[in-house]
This record gives sequence, structure tokens and C-alpha cells, in this order.
Amino acid sequence: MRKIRIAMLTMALVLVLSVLAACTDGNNGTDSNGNNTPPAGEGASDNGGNADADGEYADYSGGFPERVTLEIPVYERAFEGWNVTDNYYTRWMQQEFGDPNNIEVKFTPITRSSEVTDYEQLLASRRAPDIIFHYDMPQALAYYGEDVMQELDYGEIEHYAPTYWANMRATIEQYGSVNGERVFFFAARPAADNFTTLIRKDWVEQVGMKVEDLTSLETYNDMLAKWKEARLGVGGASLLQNNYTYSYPFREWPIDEQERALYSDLSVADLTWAASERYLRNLNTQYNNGWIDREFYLRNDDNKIKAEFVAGKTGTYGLYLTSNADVFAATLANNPDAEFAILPPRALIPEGYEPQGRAYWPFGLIMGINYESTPEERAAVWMYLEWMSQPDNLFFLQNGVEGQNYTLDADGIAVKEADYAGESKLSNNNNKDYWALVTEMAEYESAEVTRKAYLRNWAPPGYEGLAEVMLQYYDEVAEYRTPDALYSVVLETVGEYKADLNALFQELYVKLALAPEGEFDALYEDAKQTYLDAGYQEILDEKQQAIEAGQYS
Amino acid sequence: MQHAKNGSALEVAAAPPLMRKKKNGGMGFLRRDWQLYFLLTIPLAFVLLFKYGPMTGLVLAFKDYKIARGFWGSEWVGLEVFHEIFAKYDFIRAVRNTLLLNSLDLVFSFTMPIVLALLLSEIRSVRFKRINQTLLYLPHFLSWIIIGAIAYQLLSEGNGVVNNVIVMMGGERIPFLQQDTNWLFSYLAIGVWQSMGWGTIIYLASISSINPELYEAATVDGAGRWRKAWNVTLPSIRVTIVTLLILNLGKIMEGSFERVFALQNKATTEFTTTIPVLVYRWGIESGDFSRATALGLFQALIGLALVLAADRIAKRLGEDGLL
Repeated sequence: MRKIRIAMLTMALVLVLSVLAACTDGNNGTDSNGNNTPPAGEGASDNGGNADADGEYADYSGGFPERVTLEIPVYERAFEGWNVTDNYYTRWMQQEFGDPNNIEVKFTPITRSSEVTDYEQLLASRRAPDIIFHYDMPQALAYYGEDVMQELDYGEIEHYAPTYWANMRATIEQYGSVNGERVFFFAARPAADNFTTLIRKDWVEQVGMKVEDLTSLETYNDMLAKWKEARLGVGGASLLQNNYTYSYPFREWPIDEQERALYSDLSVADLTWAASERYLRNLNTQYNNGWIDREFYLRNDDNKIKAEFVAGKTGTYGLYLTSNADVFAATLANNPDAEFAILPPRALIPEGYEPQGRAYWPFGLIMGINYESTPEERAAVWMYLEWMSQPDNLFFLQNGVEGQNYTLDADGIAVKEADYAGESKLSNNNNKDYWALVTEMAEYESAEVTRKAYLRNWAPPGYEGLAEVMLQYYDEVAEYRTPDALYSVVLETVGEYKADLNALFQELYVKLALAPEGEFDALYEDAKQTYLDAGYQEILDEKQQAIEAGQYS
Repeated sequence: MQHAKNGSALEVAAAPPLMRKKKNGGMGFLRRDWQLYFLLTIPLAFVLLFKYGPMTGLVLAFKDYKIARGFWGSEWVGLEVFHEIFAKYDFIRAVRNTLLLNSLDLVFSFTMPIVLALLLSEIRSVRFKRINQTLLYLPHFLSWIIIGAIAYQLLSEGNGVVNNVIVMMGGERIPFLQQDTNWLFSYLAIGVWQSMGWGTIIYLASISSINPELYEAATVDGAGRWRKAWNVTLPSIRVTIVTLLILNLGKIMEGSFERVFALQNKATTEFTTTIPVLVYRWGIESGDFSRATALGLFQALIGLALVLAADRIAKRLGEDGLL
């Protein structure tokens, strides 16, 4: 008996010790008082910084007395031959910003196509960077709802990053608070966009049409039918995922403010809305007639979608047009006679509707400070933003080394050397994932010069006209772009049901697209009910309450 | 005869320690065999640290877990999380699909290695046998992501090599992976292909330990190859089969997340919502670790119940069982 007791005691001791070992450090985020969030505005104390005149914020203008590690997130877009965490520019930032301030600048790669998953894993393993960012407000609010962001002290931002604060103050003050708590800071977003859709001009002309003829969805569908008949190829299509903006072309104009606030949501598809029904009905027609890529639901990333276009199987392709876009050369390698044009915006709009689209909110990246960041790391974040807001630093990051990456023209615009492949080569999107922390677009001192610069940056060599047409179309439909409603409260049900509804939406909409035309109506009614029952009704109810309380803009 | 001999030898060997144990008191066995007990601490520590240690995380299933508040700072909510997941639209479907996929897997992926092991054991040429075995093991080492990509390259309706060949030969394209029922068959077939070679190892080891005298006796009695396989080989590896069957029953609520994830597409979703997929969606995609943990716990408890039930049934049927 005694022997058994001793053995049991030993086992229990080992078990308890191992459990304790497993629980320490990694899993318990609270101190003995249950606190986990450093109070906003708390000045550095244990790093030897000197408080400024009013004693509120430590003075780090001469650098931190002890080395501070600043972890900055950066999108990993799998650009070939590009190391996002260690390249010419990361080393330059360390040398120019890190070393003088005694800061170790480390970059944390965040996979662009699965960024929320990456962040959740990093947060759970307590390795998330000092900045938590996302482009869209619903997800930024979801992070806030998880309590992983610190409350901000605007005075602290102003103290350490006066230039950045001056640039972004109005935006931060207007949009940065949730439930009265200051949590978000932003990057600027000048009004411009380089996302567009390419179309094979040679195919359009081979079926006796002109790109300018594509003035409605009906003419576009006619053209697709002719492509099929001529055995040229089909329209490009891909799986809807992550961002749900598909129904804009099918929405009524002028918009009903409350209806927009209720249904239009980047993060949750509006399957039950009449605009969605019109979209799905058209998709079903296109699929059943063989006008679009029949395996569109397998095209779930850009490389797969692009591969179909490059191979000459599809005749349209949506992309961010940049001077170094490789799709042109790749397509020409397979189809030497290929010609390209920009798809007119009305080509996807049914007759009787207007070319509506989603307007960006007036800010780029939405950012918060990691709840685990120390006051020193927080100060380092502001100092980093301040350093990057200096025009010279920003210009260097955006354009590289003069004489190598670019030359300045008469307007003072950096003209890129498209073929430059030396050490200081920029990333495929001109290093945007580094400087996107302060602005979404490169800007010059005047609007005219900026526009010219956009054209130079966006125009692929030999296709200069495409960028011009893209900007022209962008301006033409400006009045029809509207942003989603911004709620000033956290919508709990969105966070609760979003992932389930996204999965369900993909299942239902693909089923509807692939259904025989005669079965569409019955299937759509069933799909609506299923979607509502799976949580969408609860989201609509919560939104309706917020709308009635005026908690949106 | 051999068994009897071994048995008596063991008894003789075991006798002196029993006597010594009394002399040395309660801890005598530790002092005597300390090297063995020391060796045992390594796997024991491994199991405690990596199997039991993480179980503390199960408290998340009873808490409204917030990353920022940590394990112990998060609020206790009792069984609320379980009520939530049981009410979810996808829950019943996930349980159904998990049971369906794994039951079918049990029928095919569990039995195929036995058949294959029987066939391999009949091969007389050692060289030919080794080449075959190596080729059959190889798929086991491929990641499911690679297998998924290969599967779509070969079997997709629009561009798959197999379908292109079918069309060239004048046939119609077959949606191997893009129609629900076909997907299910492809899923099972690919699973069998991937796992059957590796699964034969234990059976082959078991077959190699069968006393050759039994085969010789069967040959004398006029038994052919089939008869010997049926009446000698299979009964001799029965214990191994039953043990593996019980272990596999414990996995019937699990299933491979990677396998479903790599082979799924949005046109065939009828069978692809499984418990591991939901755990991934809730835990990793949504960051709702409480819900994912509760589902994982539910899955583990059902698995445990199934193992215990299978063990009991095996014992009632006269087998040794596992526990």
C-alpha cells in the first residue's frame, strides 16, 4: 500500500510540475492584479528615459538608453525572389532609423491572403507585432473586440510623432474611437485607385465589336456569347471570398441610406438582398451558357486567376495595374498577338443601373497598438511613423536609389527603370507594404504632378494608354462610389457569425451559380432561409438596432 | 511446447526478485532496476508534458476566453460554450460528415492494408517484394497539400490530365472532384492510396512472426495458398487487427483536417464540413478558441467512449482487448 501511495505521489508531483511548466510564461496574460493592458499614456520609467518638461512623456530624441525591439508587420505577398523581412530596404531602415534611436527594427511577415489567420495565431502564441493592422474596419473592430489593442493617448502620438499627427489628426479624431475608447490610428488614403480589369482587345475585335461598345452587362454578355461561338475563350471569374463587394453594380440608384447600412458590408455577404439576387441570377446565366470560366470556384488566389488569363483561356483579368505588372509579358509569351484594353466600368452594369462601386473609407491601413507592447515599444512605433512621414524617407522607400531605380524628370517625378534588377530593387508593388503605414498612395506637392506620377507608376512600358484610360474611367464614375456604413459600436454578431457565414455563403452562391436555370428560384429561396437561420438574421437585427440608435455614419 | 518452455523459464527468472523485494522493503524494486525506471522517465515525461500538459488548455471550453486576459483571467461561463456550439447550423452536419467519412475510411482504409499485407506476404521474390513495398510506402511521406494539388492536376474536370485523356479517347469529362458523390469516392480512393502501403508494416511484421510449422502442417493437409491465408495467416494476425481496429475506432470522430482541406472545393461542400474543419474555422480563422476547444473536447470524449465500447465488445467476443 505504501509503495502504491509513494508511486502515486510521485506521479502526481510530476504531473503538477509539468502542468505548471506548461502554463508558465506562454499562457497567462495577466499579472497578479489581473491587469494586462498598460494604461494609455504611461510614460517610460524603467528604461531610463528622461521625462520632458511637463514630465508626461519621456524624451527619446537621443535614442533609447536601452535597445528596444520594434516589431513591424509587413504583408507577405509571395513575390518571387523577394524577402520581406530582410532586404536592401529593411537594412536601410535599420541603419537610418533603428541604429540612431537604439531600436532593433524587426519585420513580422503577415500572409496577405490569410492575414487574419496569421494574426490570430501570432496573438495566441504571444508573438504578434507591436502594430495590429487591417485594411477593413469590420476586422479591425473584431480585433478590438478581442481586447488585443491598447487604448491610445493622442498626446503621446503628438509628442513622439508630430508630423504624422499633423497629417492624420483629423482622421484619427473622427474615426479612431470605438465605444468612446481611442484605439485606432490610420494611414492616409489619397483618392485614387489602380485596381482595374483588363480585357483581351484582340478577342473583342475578332468578334466584330469594339471595347467602347461594351456599355452594359447585356452587351458584355453578348460579347461573351460570341467569344464562345468563335471558340476564343471565356470571361474570367473567381471565387468570391474575404471582401464582398460583388453586388454594387446591381444596386438601386440613388441608394437608400438605411438599406445600405443594413446590407452593405465588406465582411459579410448580403445574400438575401435584392441586389445579390440580380447578381446571382446573372452569374447563373453566364455559367449555364458557358460564358465564364466553368471552374471559377477553384480560382481562389490571384496566381490561379492570372494563370488562366496568361494561358489564353480567359479574356478578362482584374489586377492592380502597376508599371512592373508581369501579366502582359507572360500573356504575350503564350499569345504573341494579344492586345489589351481596360474594361469600361459600365460593361458590368445591367441596363437601367448606374456604375456603382465601393468607395474606400478616407483612410488606408487601420492600426492599433498590441496590448502587450511596452510604453517604450509604443513610443518606438510613433517614432517610426514620424521618421517614415518625413518626405525624404518616404520618397526613398517609394522610389529607391536615384540613378539606379529611377531618374527624375522635368516635373520632379521619379521615372522608374523598369528593368533594374540590382541590389536596391524595389518589391513588385514598389515597397508599398512598408510605407503603407503612413499613406496608401505616393503623392507629390500638387494634384497635377501626383496624377502624372500615378500614370508613370501605373503604366506598364508599351501600355501607357491603359493607365490613362483607367484614371479616366475612375473619374467618370466617381459620383457612384459609396463607402460602407461605419458603425461606432462593435457589432457582436458580426464577429460571432462572420466565419460561419462566409463559408456558408461560398457554399450557397456556388450552388446557385451552378444550378440549372429552371431551379434557380426555388434554390435561392431555400438559400436565403438557410443563410438567415445560420446567423445573418441576428446580424441584421443588431444592425437595425444600431441604425435606429443612429450609431453609424 | 515452445510456449511452455518459455513460460517456465520466466517463472524461474521471476522468483528470486520476489524474494528480494521483501528483504529490501517497499522501494527495493526502484533500487534494483533503477536504470530501467530512469529510462522510463523519458517517455513518461514526454507524455506528461506534451499530452497531459496541454490538457490544461481544456479549461478554455468553460471560459469566455480572451487572448489578452489569458487562461486564468478569462471569465468562467460553465457549459454556455457547449450550448452555443450544439445550436450552430454546421454542428450536426459536421458530426454527421465526420462519422460518415471516418466510417467509410474504416471500411476501406483499414481493410486495404490487411489485404495488401496478405498479398505482399505471398510474394516469393525478395527483390520484387522490397521494390513494391517501397513504392507503396512513398505516398505516406507526401504532405496532403501536395497530394491535393496533384489530385486537382490529374482529376479536375476542366484541365485534369485524366479528363483530357478521356476526352481524347472520345469520352465525356467526369467531375471526379467536383460533384458531391464523386468527391466522396475520390476522397476515399486517394486516402486508401496514401495510407495503405504504410499500414501494411505492422501486419507484415505480425505475419513474419507466424510459426512456419503452421504453414507446413496446412500444406501437409492439402491447403492451397488461399486456404492458408484464410485459415492460418488471418487468424494468426487477428490480435493485431483487433488492436488496430480499436485504436482506429477512437479516431472515428477525428479525421484528417489536412486531407479534407486539401481536397475540398466550394462546389462539393456536402461532405466537407467536418469537426476538424470547424475547429480550424472557429479557432484559427475566427480566433474563437473557447468554441474550438469545446468542440475538440466533445470530439475527444466521444472518441474515448467509442474506444472503451469497442474494447468491451472485443472482450465479449473473446479477444484480449486493449485495456
